[in-house]
Amino acid sequence: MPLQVITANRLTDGAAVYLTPSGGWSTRVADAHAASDPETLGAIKARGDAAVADRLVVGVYAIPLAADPAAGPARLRERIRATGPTVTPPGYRAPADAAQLGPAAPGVRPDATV
Amino acid sequence: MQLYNYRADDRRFLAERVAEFRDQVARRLSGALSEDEFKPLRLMNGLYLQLHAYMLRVAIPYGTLASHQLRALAEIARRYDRGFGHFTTRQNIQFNWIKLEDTPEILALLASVDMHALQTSGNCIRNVTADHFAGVAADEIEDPRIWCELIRQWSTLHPEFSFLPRKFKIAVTGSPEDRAAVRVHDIGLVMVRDDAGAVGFEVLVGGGQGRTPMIASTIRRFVPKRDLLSYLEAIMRVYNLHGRRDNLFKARIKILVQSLGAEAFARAVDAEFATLQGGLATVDEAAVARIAADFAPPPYRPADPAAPEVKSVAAVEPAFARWTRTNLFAHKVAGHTAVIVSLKPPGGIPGDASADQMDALADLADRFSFGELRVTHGQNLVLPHVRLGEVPELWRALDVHGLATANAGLISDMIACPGLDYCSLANTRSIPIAQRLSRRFSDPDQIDRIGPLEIKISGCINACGHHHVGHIGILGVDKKGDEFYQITLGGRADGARSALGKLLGPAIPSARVIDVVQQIIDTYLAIRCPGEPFADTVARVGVGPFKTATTQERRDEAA
Ligand code: SF4
Repeated sequence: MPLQVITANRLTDGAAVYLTPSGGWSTRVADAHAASDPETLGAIKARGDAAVADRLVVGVYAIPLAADPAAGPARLRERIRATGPTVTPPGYRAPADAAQLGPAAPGVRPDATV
Repeated sequence: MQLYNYRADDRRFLAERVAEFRDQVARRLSGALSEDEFKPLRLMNGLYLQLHAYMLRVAIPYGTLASHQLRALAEIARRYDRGFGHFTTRQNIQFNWIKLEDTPEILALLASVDMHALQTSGNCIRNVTADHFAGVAADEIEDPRIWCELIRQWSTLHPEFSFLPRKFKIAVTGSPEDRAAVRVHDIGLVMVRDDAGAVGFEVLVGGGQGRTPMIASTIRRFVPKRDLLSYLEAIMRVYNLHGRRDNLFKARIKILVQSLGAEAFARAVDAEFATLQGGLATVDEAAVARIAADFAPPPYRPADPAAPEVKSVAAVEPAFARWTRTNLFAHKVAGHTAVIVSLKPPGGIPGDASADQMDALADLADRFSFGELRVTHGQNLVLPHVRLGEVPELWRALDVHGLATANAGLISDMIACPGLDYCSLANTRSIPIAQRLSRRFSDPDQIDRIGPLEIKISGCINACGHHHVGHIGILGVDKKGDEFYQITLGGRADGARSALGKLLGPAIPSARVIDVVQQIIDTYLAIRCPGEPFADTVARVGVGPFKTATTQERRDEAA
């Protein structure tokens, strides 16, 4: 079974966040508590669900990581969700407080060739 | 300026809605409301939760926008978002990184310029769309926006229409030439004259895109103006009563029209209409006259004899000449033109505009177009009332802001939905495909030679990118985690010729899409009759020759 992490959207701003080993939420997948055994996964998922009741996040679910966990989530959707759009809009300005990053996800940029 | 003037009642209503949502957000943040309780409330105010953040969809009713409103949108982009906005195929604008706690302030800011995010989400009658050249098109019978506004007022708070089986979309055109894609809406209204010359509406029902695309059927050739709302109400009643609430995929009115048959559906509507005609929903002439006064033409001035002629400037400025060929549209008042501002620069994101561009366009609208703009369902903007003598000056000013791309209606003027870069429902990305295509087809002479051609791209079967009616439609599908794309040919949404695209073959991987489109274009150029636009060639020869020409490329890909 591949390593999985627990993700959700932060209630206040909707940012994609990941449950950390200390029970906090980080905008970086690398900070997440990764587990593959069902028991641990069940426990951290329960922790995530509790954070919904605590009004920290919404929409908690587990996602698999890539075979090389350093590459981030396995699925493209989750990679884009983790790193931001793969395109740069006109006038794009990253927020000052951005741990949640904007465009330019390494590894998911489209082939620029035409 | 042609804009519905909010009255005290309208403002009070909006203020109440903002206050109500402010309270709902506070209760959500305090925990008094759960997410399940809150979600329908936020959706009623246009607030979605997408991949990266909340997204706020702001209504631009029938695509008409005043310069001061555009400045407010720029301010939202700058102050509450990340510096840009995305104009959509429903003539709305979306902001992609909105904080929940900021939303009440944003709605208040919108309300201060008579704007809101109502009817941009949920199972209600959505923001009504219209011909983006409404009120100025030379071929128009009447300005459809007066009727759009009436429908908006009638539908906003109508208790019968707040919980429909599914979302419901209405488009209105005042011209015989359909620029509002009325045949792919739940209800399409086309203004027509009867034999006596009176103006009324041809009513089409049951069109739509999504997973089960359909072209609408005419259920009544002529509904007089006074009966419009009664007749629409009759349609909504039949739908409300018989629509499939049990199955999300079968809940749109098109499925009902299909299962009953258009004639039986029309009879059911007629029976309902017989009980409603002449009743409460009968159109109040005084109310229409009040709205019509708001849409009175601006004080056009006669041509300035000293101004440079478009032709003479075009003779010495090839880039300007090219732009005037594609981006001007015939105006009903002599000496004027509507100007299409392309939001499709080579390599750009279709429909995106930066806050600075929005401010610049607001200023240009004030200088050249009586402070008025339009949003098109093709994700461009329009300055609707420009004096011909001022066109060269406007063009130079647009160019400074990267807004003078000469491609309206040409291959690089693509529609693309946000796709997997933003949308939580997406299978694949749409924008990078549009960007790669627009780079491949960026040579002005080449795209001129290809002529009118609409490519439309959706990142999933919900078809927000209108791929079913693209001359070339591109639909993203997920194949075991990889981005694949299905290509259709021959779709169109131009009035009686409206058709759904036909499949070219199995889906192909992302890396091959651009080359396959190139082969489609090469094939077209080789087989077209002189002057024959792409869509007509496909209608004449079918998909066959294109299938043959791309077989190798497609097979390579799938391998
Ligand atoms: S077509 Fe699909 S991917 Fe594109 S915006 Fe609509 S729901 Fe999202």
